[in-house]
Formats: sequence, C-alpha cells, structure tokens
Amino acid sequence: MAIISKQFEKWVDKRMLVGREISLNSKRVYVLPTKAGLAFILLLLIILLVGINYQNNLAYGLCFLLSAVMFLTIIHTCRNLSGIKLINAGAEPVFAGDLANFRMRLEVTKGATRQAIAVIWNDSRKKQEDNHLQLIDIDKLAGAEILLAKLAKKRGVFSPGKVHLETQFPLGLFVTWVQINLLFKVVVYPKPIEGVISTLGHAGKEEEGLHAHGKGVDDFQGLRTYQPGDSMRLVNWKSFSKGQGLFVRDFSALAGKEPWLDFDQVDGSVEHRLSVLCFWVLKLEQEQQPYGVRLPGFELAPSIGDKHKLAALYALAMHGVTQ
Amino acid sequence: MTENTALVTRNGLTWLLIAQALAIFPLLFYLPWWTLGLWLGCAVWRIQIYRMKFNYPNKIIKVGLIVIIGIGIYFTRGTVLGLEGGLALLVAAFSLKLIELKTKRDALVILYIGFLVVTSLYLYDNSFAWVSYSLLPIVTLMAALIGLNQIKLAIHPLATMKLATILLLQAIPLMLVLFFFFPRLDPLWTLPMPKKQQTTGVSNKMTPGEIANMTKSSELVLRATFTDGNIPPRNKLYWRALTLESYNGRTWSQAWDVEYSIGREPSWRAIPNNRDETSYNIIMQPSSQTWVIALDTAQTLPNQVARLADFHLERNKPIDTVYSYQLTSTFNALKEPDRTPRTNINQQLPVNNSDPRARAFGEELRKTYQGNTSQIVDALLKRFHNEPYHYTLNTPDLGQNSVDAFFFDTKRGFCEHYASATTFILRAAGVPARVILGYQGGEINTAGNFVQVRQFDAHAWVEYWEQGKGWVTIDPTFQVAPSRIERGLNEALSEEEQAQTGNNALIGYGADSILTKLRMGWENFNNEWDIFISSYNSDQQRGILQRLFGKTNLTYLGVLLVIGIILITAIWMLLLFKPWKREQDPVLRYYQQFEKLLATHGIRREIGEGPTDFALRAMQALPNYQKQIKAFHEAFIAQQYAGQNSLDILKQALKAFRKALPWKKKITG
Repeated sequence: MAIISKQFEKWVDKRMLVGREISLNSKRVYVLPTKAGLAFILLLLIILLVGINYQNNLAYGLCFLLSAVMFLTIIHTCRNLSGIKLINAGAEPVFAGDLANFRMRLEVTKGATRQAIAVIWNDSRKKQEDNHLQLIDIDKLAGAEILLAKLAKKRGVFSPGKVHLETQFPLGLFVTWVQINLLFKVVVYPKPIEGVISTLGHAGKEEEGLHAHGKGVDDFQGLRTYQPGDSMRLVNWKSFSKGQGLFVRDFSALAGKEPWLDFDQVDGSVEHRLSVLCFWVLKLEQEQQPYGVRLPGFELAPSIGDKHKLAALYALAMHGVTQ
Repeated sequence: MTENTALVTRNGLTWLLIAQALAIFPLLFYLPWWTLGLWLGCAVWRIQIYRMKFNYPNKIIKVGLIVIIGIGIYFTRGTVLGLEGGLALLVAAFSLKLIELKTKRDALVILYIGFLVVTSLYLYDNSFAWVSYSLLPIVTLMAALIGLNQIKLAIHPLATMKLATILLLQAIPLMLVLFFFFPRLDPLWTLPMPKKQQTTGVSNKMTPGEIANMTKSSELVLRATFTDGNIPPRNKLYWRALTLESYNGRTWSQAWDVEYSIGREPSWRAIPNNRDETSYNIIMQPSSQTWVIALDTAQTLPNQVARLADFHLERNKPIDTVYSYQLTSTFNALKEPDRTPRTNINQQLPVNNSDPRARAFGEELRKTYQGNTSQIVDALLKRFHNEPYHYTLNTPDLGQNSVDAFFFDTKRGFCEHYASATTFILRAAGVPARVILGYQGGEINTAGNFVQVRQFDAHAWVEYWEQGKGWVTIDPTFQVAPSRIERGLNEALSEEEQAQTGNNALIGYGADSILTKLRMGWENFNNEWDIFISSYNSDQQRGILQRLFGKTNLTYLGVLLVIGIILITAIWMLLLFKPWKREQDPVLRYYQQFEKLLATHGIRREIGEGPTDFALRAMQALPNYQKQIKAFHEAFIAQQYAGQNSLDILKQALKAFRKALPWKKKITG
C-alpha cells in the first residue's frame, strides 16, 4: 500500500499545476467517494433489498432516484472545483518562528458562486484532525480572499509548498480535490534575540548606553534642510516649532559616531549573530536611533526609517542565502 | 479528507428537523401514537441544546430511554420483532439520535435512517397520492444533507431547499432509465409482510352477516381493463374469488382437501361452437391473501397461478403488493361434466340434523321432480321469485337453524342468506351444489373505460352440478332483487340502507356531476399509475424488449441500461460544464454588467469603441450620473491596465452606479 500511495503521490505531483495564477478545469481534479458516500451506497443497497424482497416498485424507485442523485453529484462536485482561478496575492515578511500569512485570491471564471471549498496546506492535511478545514464560498462576482498561515521556522526565503483544495459540496458523498503550487514565497527575517554587540555594550545594560547616546542625538545640531523623501522621523520638530523651517537631522556628517551593527562584533554562530543584529535593528528603530549594518560582504550606511529598516532586515534575512 | 466530526450546521439542523417531522407524520397511521410524542420531545430537547438551555443527555439517561422505548413497543405492539416492531424501533432510533446529535456524522446517521423510514412507508401504501407526499420528506432530507455540507455562515434555508429540488429534478431522467430497465429480481429471501389493517374483504369463510358488513367499505378491490374496450354487461361480471364447499350448520368454508389439489387441474373445456369470451387485465390491490380473482371461467392463467380442484385460482404467494395480470375468460365453459369426488363432497350436509324443515323441503323437491336437477333448481328459484322474499342488509337474528329461520320465517336476507339457503336445499334435494364467493358488477369508470370493483360489491352466489352439464352458475339474489345485479348494490337498497352503508358519499352523485367526473379522472389516473409504476414487473420489461428488439433476452435490458446512463450523463455533463462558454475574467464580467446597465437606458457601446470614449459618451448622455460613471470607469482602468489588484473597488463602484440609477427607466433625451 505504501508503495502504491507513494507512486500515486508522484503521479499527482507530475500532474500538479504550478504558477502564480492557476485556472482549474475539470481535467486536473480528482474524485473519490467519501466515507459518507460509501455509507450512502450501503443505504442504497438496503433500499434495493427492500425493493427486491418485498417486490416493491416504489422502493426500487427511491433507490434509483437516490442513485441518480448520487451519480450526478460527481458532476456537481467536480464542477464546484473547476472554473475557478487561484491567485498568489503575496505575503508580508515575517520573523523566524512567526506565522507567515500567505494571501490567496480565489475567483470564479465560469458559472455560479462556489460553495464550501476547503483550502489547506498539503503537508498539514494529514496532521490535522480533519475537522478544522477552512471552508469558504467564492462569490461569483467578488471572489474570495483567504490567508493561509504557516509557521516560518527558518531565516531566509520560505516556500510553504503545495496547497490542497477540496470540496464535498453539495451532498458530501464525493470529494474532489486538487493540489496546486502557487509558488508562494516569503522573506523570513532572523528571529530577534537579545544579545551583546561589543561596540554598543552589554545588552542587559544597554539602556544606559543608549540613553547616553540618545541624548547625544538629541543634542545633535547637525541639521540640513528637509528634502522630499526624507523620513518624517528625522524631522527636527524643535526647530520647526520655533518657526525656523523644516530641518532633518543629518547623520552622514557625523561618520564614526553612529552605532554600527557589526556582524563581527557579535559572538556565537552565524544565525545567532544575525538574530542579535536583528534585535538591535528593531530596538534602535524603536528608539529612533540611526544605525548602520555591516555584514561580511555587505554594508548599509547608517540611517533610520522604514525603508532603512526593511533594507537592513532584508540583508540579515538573505545573508548567505543563495537564491 | 472528510470532516465528519465537524459540528452540525444550522441549515443542516433546520432541514433535518423538518424532514423528520414530514417522514414520521404518515407513520402515525401504523405506529403507536407515543412515537410522535417521543419525536416531539427529542426535537424540543435538541433545539434547547442548540440554544444552550439544555445539556446533552448522559449515558444513564440514554440507556434508560432505550429500555423504556423497548418496553413501550412491546406493550403496544406485542413484539419488538417483525416488521411493525422493527419499524417502531427504527422510528425510535430516528428520534432518539436527535438528542445526541453533535457532529456531522450523527446528523448523517439520522438522515440515512430517514430515507429508510420513507422506504418502509412504501410497504404500506403504493398509491400515487402517498408517493407524491413522500417526495416532501425526500427533498427535505436532501436539503438537510446539503445544509450539512455548507459553510457555517450559510443561513438561507430556502436557497438550500432550492438546490435540493434542482438536484432531484436533474436526477429524474436517470431514475426513469434505471426504473424501467433495471432487471426485476425474485425475492432473495422471504420477509414478514406488513399486516394490512384488514378492515373488510372476502375471507375464506362465510358466516351470515359477514358480506352485509362489507358493504360499509368502499375500499378498492380490483380494476379491470378489457382489451377490446368492450365491457361485458353487468350480469356477466361475476368476479370469482373462492369456492365454499364445506358447511357446519353455520359457516361455509373451503373444503379441507382443496389446497392439496395444486397441479391437478379439474377437467373442463370451453364450449367450442359458442365462444363467448373476453380478454382483460386486472390490477388487484394487495389483499395479503393468495387467491386470484377472475371472471368465470379463466382460460389462460398468469404465471405462478394455479387452478385448484374447486375452480378457484390461487397464486403461489400472497398478494402483498399491487398485482397486475392478464386473463382471458369464457362465459360458456363445460366444467366437470362427469361425476367426480367433488360432486360427492358437495352433497354433504351437516350431520347434526340442523335445519330439519329445509332438509324436508329439499327431500320433497326431489320427490316431486323425480330427481330432475333442472326442474328442482327452477322450482327453488321460482319460490324466491314468487314468495315475499326481501333483499335487505338488516336481517333479524336467525338463531340456531339459520337456514330454516330465513327460508320459512323471516324471508329477509342478504345475498349470503340466499346463496346459503339455496345450496343447502339443493344438497338436501340430492343436487351437488356449492357457494361461490367473490364480487359482482362494479363501477364503470367513464374516464378510463375500466371496471372498478370495491369491497361493497362483495357477493355470494351458487354453482350446482348436473350430469352432462357440469357446474352451472345460478344467482338466487337475482330472483329477489334483479336491480342488485343489473345496477349495483345502492340501487337495490332502500335509501335508509344506503345511508347505513355510508357509500353514498362516494358514488351517490349523478354520473354527469362534476364531482363524479373529477373522481373518475382521479381513479383513472391511479389505474394508470398502478399499471405502469406500482405493478411494473419483469413481464412488462419483457414486453418492452419484445417491442424494441423482437426478443426478450434480458441482456438487452443491460444494453439499454448502459446506453441510457451514458447518454444522460453526457447530456448533464454538457449542460452543467457548458464547455462552449469561455472562461471569463471577473473584471470583464463587471464591465459587462456596467454595459448592461447602460444598455437599459439606451446607451450601447459601439463595436470598436474604447472604454474611455464609451464612458465619456455615457457621461454626456446621463449627466446626472457622471460621478458614478467616472468612478467605475477609473476603477476599471486601474484594474485592467494599471494592474491594481482590488476588485472590491470595482464592485463598489458598480454597486453605487446601479443604486443611483432608477430601475430600468429610460432617462435619456
């Protein structure tokens, strides 16, 4: 059995649809009777037996009516899963150890609103107790959008893999299913870990150092006029409120004084070092202190702001990752 | 892969409860009343659980309930075995499962039992009316099944019902193919049949007063359709069911040896130079008995039916479902012209010397006519005609010597008294004679040109035997009340007695009244239903094959079945998948709706006109709606060309435009 199921999986994999947008048609879906369907067949046999043994044509009739309904549900269940389009709508980067939420759009390309479609990661299908399948309806016009969450364990680029879609609608007697690969991908930042960067002092007491440093920034007088594109966080509101105009703090003028988050200044394994650096990036962003990032073969000039933070985190995430 | 442990949905629960009510309701005619109470209790309990007012029952309560129900069924039905007990248990399970209904799997069990409950009802009633009703629980069970598979947010029960109806309607062509071409098999094993509530009906015994009692029932016995459309005159419509040859002084019954005579046909032949015969089809309603009713004398016999020594027809199994059979009968048959053991049996009188006056009267007749059978019979029948005998339902109490009391004193009686007395006196006169039990006449259905015989048509008449002539039929009742034979029971009764039978409500209206016509039409429809659906069997299947292929080989049935299924499936696949329809981008679909909206106001996009030009033109034509048109157009452009991925904006814009426009009113100009 194991060999057969492995072969079957291989065959399914070969036929699997891959792409950022996938249109399903009836050719790629698989149909199987459910447990409820098998029980229904048993019910049909009982009714048929009543018909035969009591020579009762109406029992025959009911048996045939239900058989016909069951048979036609194969078509209905197949149709429920075909004529829809699945779109990879991206995902926001996350930190390692967090849930990554992948957005998936479902649109109806043909026919009516689809009901009760289950969407789940293929590999978590067996682990789950079958009863927490997320069922959704896909509106004929508006479509549907769902978030598929998956734990991002490791730093780098995370591909969650195959998505399994199935439906038992309308009667639950048959299940049609399809496996697709929407090429989901997300950048996973290192998990932030408190730690020491020697040039900054010990993390445990970093409050002091930072505050001292923070004052230094506060007292800093090196200002230049605001240019469009500058982070609003760097605006010197003090001078603005005095009516002196819009100035931003200029750190490039003060090279050497701003903290460098340096890979070489952290102890431990590569992953640990990146995690500590990640922690500091977040910390310093929160404190609104400019910082630079220095990794082997990579340097990000000191600055502050969302753009800077994302660049820094991206660099940390992608360090040593071959794409 | 399945999610059977998921909780039951609201839509599923709603339809499930309704389906149960619909399925259980008609069972009340056959089951103890408290089963309804049981279901009601369980339903209320379950609803309270849903509203979080009650808890699920614990094990002790469940076991207790099952024991109580078992005892209840035992006491009201006398048994928990057999069909009635089994059905009661089925319904109890159907109800009880409600209060432990938690998951989808529990709900499935209930629904599947529901289908079995509907099936069990077909064992009691095959009529069109009931089958039509049964579609209600079936479609509701189907809706409940769909409801179970919907998402929890789906709360429109009527949409679910609509879908269930569509599913059933789509299944009908396939069902018909299966119904007509699926081979009908013989029973695999015998099962207890449902006991018909035997209100009335001919039994294999005749005690004075019994047939008079049957006149109160208008229950259908059989319908006969004559092949050439010519219905024989009423006085020839003697529907023979049984022959009663044994008399104990009070009750006429079948001779004990008759049942051992299967396979030994009595000798008889149709009189060749006077072939007075008729072919007809009978649809007999379930009687739970084995005898088969026919006009005397049936020439050809249906399958599995034998003629017994006393000329009554018997099937090898009880008629438990509507039974259809084809017959040809001759009205002129020479039955056993020579003396046989049966003629001796039919000369016997009770040994206890009952009814001495009647015996003496018979002896006197024999002496008077020197044993000339024809003259004896004539004299007896003349006496009925000339003396003040009276045909009536209300007979006085006749006491021990019932023949004497009736024949000499009261002279008031129903057909059974006349038949009984005639047979008794003929035997006393040395003429072999016996009572025939069956039905006489019937009502001609003008809508379908067939005869329908009801219980109140029950009748008893007499056969006597004469050397060389064999068994000859006479009807002493005809001498007293010819209108009974010529126009039916109601004509022969006084108005008071008609009211007593209660059948006036049914047949009391004139032949031309609308009510009568409606009734005839309905009965005609039921006849067709019984012929084509209820009694459809392998003989009819062979008939179809004969007409289609000229052969009755059953493998052709399989061929028809497979071709039918493939054809219908292909048609449904085409209709449901619509491969000729191209797949469509939802954005374009919105745009088409937008175009449709504008088209209702007379603005149509010309071929080759771009969306921008069209939008500008529309804005000029409908200046009051410039804002909405612009909003939609911009959303469309953004979606289509700038690759913005938000259909919602487009949808909102379309909705806003639709809302702003007056409904389908031309506002240009």
